[in-house]
Amino acid sequence: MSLENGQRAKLEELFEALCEGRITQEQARNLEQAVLADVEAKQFYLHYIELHGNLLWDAATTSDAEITTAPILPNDRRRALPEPTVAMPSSAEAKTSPPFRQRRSIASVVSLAAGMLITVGLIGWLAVAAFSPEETGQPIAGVSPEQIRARQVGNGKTPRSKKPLAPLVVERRDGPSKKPVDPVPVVRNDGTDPKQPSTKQPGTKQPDATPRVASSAAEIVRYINERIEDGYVSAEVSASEMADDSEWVRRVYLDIVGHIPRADEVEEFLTDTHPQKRSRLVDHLLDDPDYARSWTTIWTNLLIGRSSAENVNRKALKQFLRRGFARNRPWSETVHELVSAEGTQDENGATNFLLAHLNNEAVPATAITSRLLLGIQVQCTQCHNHPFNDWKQNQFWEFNGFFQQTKAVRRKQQPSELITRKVGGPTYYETRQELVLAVTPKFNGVDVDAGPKTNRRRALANLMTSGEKPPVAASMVNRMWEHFLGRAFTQPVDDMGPHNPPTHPLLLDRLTTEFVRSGYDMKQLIRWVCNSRAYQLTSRFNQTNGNDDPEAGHPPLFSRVYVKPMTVEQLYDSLQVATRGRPEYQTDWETSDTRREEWMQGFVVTYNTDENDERMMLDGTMPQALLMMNGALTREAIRGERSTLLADVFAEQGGETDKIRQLCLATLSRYPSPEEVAAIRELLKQYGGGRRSDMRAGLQDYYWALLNSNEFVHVH
Amino acid sequence: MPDASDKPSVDSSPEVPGVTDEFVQLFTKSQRRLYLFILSQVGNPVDAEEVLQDTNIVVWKKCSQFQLGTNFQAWVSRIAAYEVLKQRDRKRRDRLYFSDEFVQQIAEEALTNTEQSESRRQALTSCLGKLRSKDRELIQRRYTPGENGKSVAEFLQRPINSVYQSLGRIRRTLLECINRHLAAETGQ
Repeated sequence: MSLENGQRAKLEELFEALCEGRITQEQARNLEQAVLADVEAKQFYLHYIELHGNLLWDAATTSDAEITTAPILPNDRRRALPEPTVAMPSSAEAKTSPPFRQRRSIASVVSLAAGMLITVGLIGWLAVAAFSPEETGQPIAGVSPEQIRARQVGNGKTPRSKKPLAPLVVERRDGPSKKPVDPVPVVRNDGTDPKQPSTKQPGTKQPDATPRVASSAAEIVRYINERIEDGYVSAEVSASEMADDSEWVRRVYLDIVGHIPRADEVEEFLTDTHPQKRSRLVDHLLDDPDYARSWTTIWTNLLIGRSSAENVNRKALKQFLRRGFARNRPWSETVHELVSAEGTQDENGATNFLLAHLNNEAVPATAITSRLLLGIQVQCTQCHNHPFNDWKQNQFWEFNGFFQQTKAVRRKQQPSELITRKVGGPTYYETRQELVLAVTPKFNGVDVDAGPKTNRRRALANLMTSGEKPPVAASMVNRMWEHFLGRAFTQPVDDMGPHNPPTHPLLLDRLTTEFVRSGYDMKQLIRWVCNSRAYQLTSRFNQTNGNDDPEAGHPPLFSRVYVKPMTVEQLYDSLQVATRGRPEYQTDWETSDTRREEWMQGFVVTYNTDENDERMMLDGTMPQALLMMNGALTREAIRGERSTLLADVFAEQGGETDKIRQLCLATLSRYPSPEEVAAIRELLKQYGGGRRSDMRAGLQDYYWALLNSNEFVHVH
Repeated sequence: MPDASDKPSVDSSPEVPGVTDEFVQLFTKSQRRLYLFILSQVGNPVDAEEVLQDTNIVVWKKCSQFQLGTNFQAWVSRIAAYEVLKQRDRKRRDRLYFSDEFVQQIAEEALTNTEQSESRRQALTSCLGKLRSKDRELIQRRYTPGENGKSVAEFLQRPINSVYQSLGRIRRTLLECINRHLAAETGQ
């Protein structure tokens, strides 16, 4: 470091001004002179800029900032860094590309198709608000920015969204799976909410003999609506408009069955005139086999991660979960089995959860059981008292004590086995003061006999799943809420300790109680949430709720539904639906799961994602965009071969406009606006002389652009 | 226009010569350094993103010209350097931060000096972790997309100059920390 200190300080000041964009012409000249005069100074400059650039790059590529946050950003930063990947070529590029030739080169394919992508992106659903003419250079052919804005501002203009929403009533629908498992005596549900009049909504009259569940369903929905409404009032916002049917149908399919609806399913829903069609669709989807498949995927990923460790029988765990979801087994039972499972991993799929985490004195098992199933983060109390909450170090070890009899027997070429040894005694641990202490197993204030005769895990499972509102139930409610509304009552969802109070404590409390009373009925919980008013809202902002943006650090008010990126599994399955790409989609679930996992390896390997990450999202990063744009899946789908969706659209009668509408419906679950159709037709004109094959090439590119659009890869 | 007899015959599929998995990987890997390279020449992130986009378009167009086994980073950097000049031409009338000579010299210097950039990046991650939490919050807030020193100052209701000073100090701390890391690594 041969730069003298004075020189260095002077340079730093100039660099700092440069990085903050406040450098004057004169300072810039000084900077140049000083930097060019000295090799060390040049180095210093490069290192400084490199630091600045790395921080910018990391911030832009790691923040999972949603596209919807764009409107509130200042002009010059609207284009988040990762975005150029998808929107590489500009629309100007598409316009100036050489006249289109029959034999298409990669350059023109990329450029024109990307022009499509831009068009789709711009007049599409999400990116619209971020659009401004100075950024794209030129307005899209045929559509002025004003028109585009008009479409955006006047949301809800489409006639089909005009329909007022029917009163939200949940009807009781007891599937065959509903079993009398509820150990809680049937108590009429009141007292928790004195404000609620007990009059029933019209239409909720139940033929069944057990009125409690049914009447409380409508009441619960109303309670949700009121508590959420309270939040709006105190924050002085009003809720966004209702989502139109297109937006809603796509969302509810993705949320419940894990993929987008087929075009005909969308059409069916749009033309359905039943006043309670939304709540009927929720019921219909809960009976769909893909409900079990989707939730099995979600919980497998949570329990053992996406890339399973060796010695874990992923398939067996999935079977275990799938059976539970398919027959709507009470969640408490599932948890009970996961915690107390014994036997070989092939015969008892539930053992795989603990087998995956059982090493190092069961410390990981302790932490993950607590975090995932109870929503309590204890990992830092392993070594010291929790800095923010009441968990003390001894509590970690008291909890850990429950796993001390448990042993994983691992054999070569043989399935592993989870056994319980008949041993007793305390657990020892060391404090920061190097004091060795002993504790006996204890959960939630209840001591368990530490003798060898107690099966401690079974005792723990009992304790975890008993009580009026145990953390197991609260944690599931919180997760469900996050799954559907885009944000949990606590952030993060699995940290519900006293240091992290929920945003809607009354609501969380009530839902937890009701969930327990329902006998941990998952489908019922989903019905409550899906029928709440908050879930019917559009994800768009309105004039008043611009601050309801958890991404920007504001506590969620649920005055709109927050946009979520699709998970990779949702994306894969949705691509299958949107393209009718591969026949295995219709095959058995194991085969299709295997294919999906193969495809996902592209993402897992590329990111080297921490396997137990909460969710591996499609986060709009470069490798993911490239996989999407160039992957075999997409390539095959847009080729237009027999039996794919594109082939059918080609084969159908009707003109260009019809085909544009069909493709849009199949991918984005909505019809394109007239402006979009006009813009796309304008672009299609660039594909040569209007021959059939030319139009096909254009439609292929349009389809490709739709599949790669932001609107496609988000749940909104 | 199509008619009823329009059968789903197979169109010429958009095969993509030159785009191999390896190319995609190289491309993906190159993006960060490419951005840094461009930023050092244009000085502001918005312009840098624009040039990065322009460069990526050209890289894709010319992908068949790239020969696997040769230096990908050098290849894309050459394209980027040219795109920087093109942007400068376009922006002549606007205010430019730097002179042609400066840009050229920096580009040369940046190309000769790349081998440690990955270690420096890793060191940065570790150094961010070592910052005092108050400093880390400040720098993270500053680099949240959409923010800058001014908006952070407004948010924190601190005098703007004091925020600039703090940011400068934190950057210095980080640089020193990175240099210590590198020195330790190379055993100097």
